[in-house]
Amino acid sequence: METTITAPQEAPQEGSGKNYLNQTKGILSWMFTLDHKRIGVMYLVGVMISLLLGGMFALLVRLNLWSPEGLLFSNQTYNEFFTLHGAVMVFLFVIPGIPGALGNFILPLMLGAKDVAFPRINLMSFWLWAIGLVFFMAVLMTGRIDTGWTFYTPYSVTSQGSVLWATMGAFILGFSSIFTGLNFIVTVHRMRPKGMGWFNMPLFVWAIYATAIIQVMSTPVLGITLLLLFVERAAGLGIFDPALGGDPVMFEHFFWFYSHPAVYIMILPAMAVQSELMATFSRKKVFGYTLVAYSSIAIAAFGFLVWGHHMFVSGQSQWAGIVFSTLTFSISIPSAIKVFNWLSTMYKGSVHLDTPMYYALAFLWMFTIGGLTGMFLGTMGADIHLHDTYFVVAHFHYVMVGSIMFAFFGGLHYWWPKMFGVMYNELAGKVAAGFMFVGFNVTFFPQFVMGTRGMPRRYATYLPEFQTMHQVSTVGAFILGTGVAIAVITLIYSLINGRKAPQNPWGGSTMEWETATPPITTNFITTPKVKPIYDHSPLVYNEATGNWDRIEEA
Amino acid sequence: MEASANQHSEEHHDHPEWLAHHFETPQQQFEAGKFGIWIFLVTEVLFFSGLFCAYAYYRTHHPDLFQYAHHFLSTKMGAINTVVLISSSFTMATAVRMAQLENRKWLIINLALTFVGAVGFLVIKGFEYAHKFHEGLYWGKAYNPSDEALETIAHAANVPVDQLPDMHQFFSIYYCMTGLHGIHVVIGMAAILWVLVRAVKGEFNRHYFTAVDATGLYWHLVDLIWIFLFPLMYLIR
Amino acid sequence: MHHDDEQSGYDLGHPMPMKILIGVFATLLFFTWLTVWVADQHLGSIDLSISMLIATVKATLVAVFFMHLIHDKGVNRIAFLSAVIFAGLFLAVVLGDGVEYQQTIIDFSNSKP
Repeated sequence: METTITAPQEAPQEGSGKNYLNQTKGILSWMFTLDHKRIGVMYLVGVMISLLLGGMFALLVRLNLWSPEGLLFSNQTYNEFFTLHGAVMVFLFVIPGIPGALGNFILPLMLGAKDVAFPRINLMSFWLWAIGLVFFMAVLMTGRIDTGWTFYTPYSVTSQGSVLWATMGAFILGFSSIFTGLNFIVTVHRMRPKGMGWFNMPLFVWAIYATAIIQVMSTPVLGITLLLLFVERAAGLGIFDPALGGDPVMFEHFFWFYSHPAVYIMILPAMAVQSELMATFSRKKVFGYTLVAYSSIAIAAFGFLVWGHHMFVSGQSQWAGIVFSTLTFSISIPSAIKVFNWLSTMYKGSVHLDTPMYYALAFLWMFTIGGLTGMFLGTMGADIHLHDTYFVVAHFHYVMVGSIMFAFFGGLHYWWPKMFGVMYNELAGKVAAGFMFVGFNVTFFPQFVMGTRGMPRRYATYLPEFQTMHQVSTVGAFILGTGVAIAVITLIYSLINGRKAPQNPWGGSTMEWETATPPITTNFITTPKVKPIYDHSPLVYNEATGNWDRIEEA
Repeated sequence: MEASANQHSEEHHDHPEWLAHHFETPQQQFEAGKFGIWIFLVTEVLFFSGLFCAYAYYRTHHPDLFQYAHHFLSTKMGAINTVVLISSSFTMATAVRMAQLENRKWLIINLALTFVGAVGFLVIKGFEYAHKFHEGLYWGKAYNPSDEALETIAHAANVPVDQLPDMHQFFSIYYCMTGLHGIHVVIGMAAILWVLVRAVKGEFNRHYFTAVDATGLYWHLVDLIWIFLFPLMYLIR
Repeated sequence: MHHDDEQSGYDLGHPMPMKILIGVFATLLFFTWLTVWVADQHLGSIDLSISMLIATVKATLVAVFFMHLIHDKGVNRIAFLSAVIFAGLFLAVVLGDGVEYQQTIIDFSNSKP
């Protein structure tokens, strides 16, 4: 039987050597690009800068907590720094990060498409993101904010900081998110290739699709909340501030109706990456593919029903508390299904411990802890004690950093060769992952303990009995920061000095691996034939080239 | 629901310039565009839902505010505006039909009529707002009702003037809802004008009128929101 | 050309007949008149429910006919309905909770000197 190796889809002879990076030159060709891959790269640069900025605030916060009276700065400054840490991380890194940087680049490629459904709206999403960043820069320069990223009223109405700039920035970033979601929904519905039914799509696409649904339905409520807050502050509307006749609990309802689904906007893309890493690095179809797909949708749907679990002590009624607490348990089911299915994927698979897999394995540990501790918080009785303590801080950092940031780096290391055509230093990549894992757990595990012992969150000063654990946590933060720095430097160095990447260094079975490396501007010359999903059998490792060749039966 | 990538069509019709390069067929482009605008409308519904929620909350817990303050609003003006908006919705729907039938003349006329309707709506709204500003009926902290205004309400509601509650919250909600709606009318006008210019340039045909359809859908949503705003604001008794 | 259109990805759906557009327009005008008239009948607390019901009927007409949902693809209908349902969920919970905790607010205001 004749077999051939499928050739990568490279540029035609006239433009040979041309790919999406060098097809056109000049800053304007990037600023006004309609190419989803370039937009993805711009997002990548932007969110990495935001990550480093937010991380810097985090390190300053942790440093100040070295001493019970505050080591470095005043309580006011401390309040400003933790607010900015939260706002920058949530709005500029976590929410846009994986969908903007990785989703934009990879999703159309996974569907064999030439672009997303609305390339111009995609570009507009990025510009809106950039404008949002400018607004937050303005916040930094015009008096900062100290309200916490949650902007609770009435303090956010009366506080002296630049709440107006911050709310406007978040408002604009919300629209960026909405348009990204809109684009992805239409792309997944209308631009799948012939033969790719819903249940033949990569799980990455399923999870990004579920994310997009949440983005589109919940973010507008944040929009109106921020708009009302803006007008209340500027014109004394009287909707949220009790002194003006308003209701602050209503603000919390409005705010959390978005912000709870928002955490699923954050975690689902991470789960999207996780599914891909598990499949490729176990060389096996994800166990229980259909259930994992449905779980993405279930998480999105249930996520809309539980926002009151952030409000148990806010003054909402007991009735609401009971309902929200009960419903919160429902989310654990699809989340657990995913974790167990990922674990089962490795069983009898062929596990390859490359750098991306390190991040994926770390994710399993951290998401389990993050998810389980969420259950403690969702239990209304327990939450009375744990609310506003470090237990909450530890919980959400285990999901936001331990899971999402790790998945982000995992996906970045996975698709980096495809995006930039270079391989990074594997050893350095693994060392970075190790630093991050150790550093992260040293930072945040003690915080669970501190929280149960009563250490409140957002406090600049604290009782001396907590000092040792705070110091351990601070040391951990710097180890984590070191890990991030090593990872970033390793990746950037690869752009300068990395060896040329083969077409498919990891043996991924999804369609993006059939493009050239890096892809040509139009992605494909002809749409590849749709194959059964996660079928790794045609991929054979070629020792000489380091590439996984796709063998086709002729 | 798969996208159809029909090779047969590519041989018979070249990729026309109104067909974007990343779409295989005009039908795919049209369906994608329509779905896209519907999703945008979803976001608009959820955006306004916050205001409807605030309205419902305050009307439930401070019904007296609403019962007195509604006397400041003219049911007649509100009703006329409702008719204006419904009429412009009708002309917009007709415009879409004309685009599909490649009837350029009536497409342009209906788009122009829709635009005129929008202008009319804003003019009437402008009169209403001007009247209120004259009486000092602003929002929030700027609320400073004139004595005549308060006398009118006291008389209409049959209570002494000093028993009237502080009604600034009603006006805060009123201006937020009608104001945000008004901003959407202005955006709609810009969209209608843009589509009108393109229609005059002859850019639409039987296989490509997505922009007209999308603008139409947006405009109908603006109408839909007003259909609910009108009874909530103007028909309180 | 038409036969070709229907088969090759060029079929963009049928225009809404003029009769239906005019009919819906007239019905909307009628319901507008009706809702104003009902409001002036002073039926008490049932006022709000009736006006909302009429508004819903008008909105449905606009959505189904002017916005073409009757002939449209299922996803568009599902999208719009989902928006309405989630908005409804949001309102229901916030209002329900508001009703439940009003007593706390009243008790607090009464307890102040």
